[in-house]
Amino acid sequence: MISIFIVDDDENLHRVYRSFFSMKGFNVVGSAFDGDEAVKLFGALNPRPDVLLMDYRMPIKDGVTATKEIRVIDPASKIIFLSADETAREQALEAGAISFLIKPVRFAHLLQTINQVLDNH
Amino acid sequence: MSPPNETQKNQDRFNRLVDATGALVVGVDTLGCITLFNKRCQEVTGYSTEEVLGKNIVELFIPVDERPNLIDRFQNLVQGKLPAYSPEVHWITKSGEQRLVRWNNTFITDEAGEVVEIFGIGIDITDWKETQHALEESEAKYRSLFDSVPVGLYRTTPEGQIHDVNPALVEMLGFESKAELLKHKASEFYVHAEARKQFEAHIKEEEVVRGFEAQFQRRDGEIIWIELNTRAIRDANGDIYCYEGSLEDITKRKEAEIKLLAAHQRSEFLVDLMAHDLNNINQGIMMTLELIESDEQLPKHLREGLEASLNQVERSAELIANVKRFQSLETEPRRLSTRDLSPSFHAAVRAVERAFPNKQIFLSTNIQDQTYWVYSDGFLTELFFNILHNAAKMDRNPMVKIEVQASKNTTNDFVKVEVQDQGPGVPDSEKNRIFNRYLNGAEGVRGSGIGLTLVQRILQRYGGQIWVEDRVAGDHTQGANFVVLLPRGERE
Repeated sequence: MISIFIVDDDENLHRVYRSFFSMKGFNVVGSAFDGDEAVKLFGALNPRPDVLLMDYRMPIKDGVTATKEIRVIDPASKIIFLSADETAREQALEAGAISFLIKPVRFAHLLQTINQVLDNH
Repeated sequence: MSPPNETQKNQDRFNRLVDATGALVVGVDTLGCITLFNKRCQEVTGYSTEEVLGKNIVELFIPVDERPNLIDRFQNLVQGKLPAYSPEVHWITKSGEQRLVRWNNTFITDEAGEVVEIFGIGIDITDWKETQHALEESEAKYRSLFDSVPVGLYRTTPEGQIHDVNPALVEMLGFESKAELLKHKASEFYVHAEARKQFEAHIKEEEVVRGFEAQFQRRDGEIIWIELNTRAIRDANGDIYCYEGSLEDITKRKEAEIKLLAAHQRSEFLVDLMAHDLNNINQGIMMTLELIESDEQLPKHLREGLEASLNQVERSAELIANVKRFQSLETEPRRLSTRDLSPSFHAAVRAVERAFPNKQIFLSTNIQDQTYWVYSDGFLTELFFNILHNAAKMDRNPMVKIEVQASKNTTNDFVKVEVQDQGPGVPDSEKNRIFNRYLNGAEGVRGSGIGLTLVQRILQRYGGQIWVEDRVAGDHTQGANFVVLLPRGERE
């Protein structure tokens, strides 16, 4: 079962993501509402999740900073950015994200990206 | 031949001396008849000595209107009364031209002390007088301009002591009179001393300062924005002896700029906020609809409704994206260069295919790498994305056929790209309106997008053009043909 970790400051999206991934047989092993919480929770996770979905604009710590710190904790972590802010694409990829999707994205496209990330990395 | 006696020798010496001088030398007897007419007189008047000897000097040379005065003065001379001034008298030359000559006179007396001959030594000052007159005229014009222009003008020493100002500057700085303003130094008006230092450093280094903006404090304490244009003036030795220039009150312009900037920043903030937050909302709606759609028991009519709603969400996201692109078109500086049309075009094709996962897009084109070079920038992909997206969106068929043909136009400097679709086409009444939603508003134009308006704005940026024709002339229902003219790049 593919394990997934969700980072987004939108509570509603958390609920939707969890419902969808549960339905598709994913295991949502954790979720955070800001970058700081994400880094702390990720560091405590054992085993590590297969994939992280990362938002960019969040309170306390943004997604790019959180990505850099998570990549320090685990350089093999696979992070997919899912943001409404296209301007963050370059920074996110430089910070170590594997893919960058612009909201809104359809589930089919998200699933396809997750599978590609897991297959290729 | 007997050797010349002493008197003859003296006469020869005198004649040579008189001819060698650059001045006019003329001699007359007490009746005014010419007795001596030197070489310079001949050059200036055009008469030979033989032509003038014995003739009356006044009748021959003096203009009628100057004669009465001159005759009086001549009588004084004959009576041995030398005038204390040097008269300036016009002479009429042989060709009729008037020359102005300044004279110094002297006379020779006989043993009884009676005047027997009068000599005049003159300088032709015609050219000098004309130059002086032109100079005075020029000075008067300059002063009139200096005093009447609505822009402040000034002259200061390099140290900032004000030498001269015009009335506009006196008024601009809130003074009652020029004399009052001249008591101040230029540096006293600067609100920020640092600005004056910057100005001084610049003028010392460059000797010219253009468009220098600073805040000045008027005499009544009011702060104004001014724009300075100044240049250093050097004297004959090459030393800078003053700065002169103009000073314009740009307070209203600066206030407008500040307001515009604030409005622009506010608009950027709102667009950014809208784009980000609306797309987060869109994400939630889209995924919730997809969750409901995943229920296999869902009746067909509800599934169709859900799919329509999902398309609406995608359209909303596309609209938001185009609003952001519009904004970046306004803010990003225009830096055009020669680019290969193909990579941008094919990137647009791939993006459109991704945007319509439920449609099959069959696109045929002759656009290949390194074939067409156009003068453009990074918005080129957006341009074709929006044209192709419009074609795919308007065609209701699940299989969308689009043909794109580029050609080099040899008669002018454009690459022509024709995008033909088989959608519902564009009626004649809408052909000129679909690109101007920004100006015309939404009324009468189908759809809610601004993609084609964005296309036109991008083409305006490039100096290109776009229009739409019927794919089959005269029958718009057979599809549209979007014709794009892009300026050809230098490699063409």
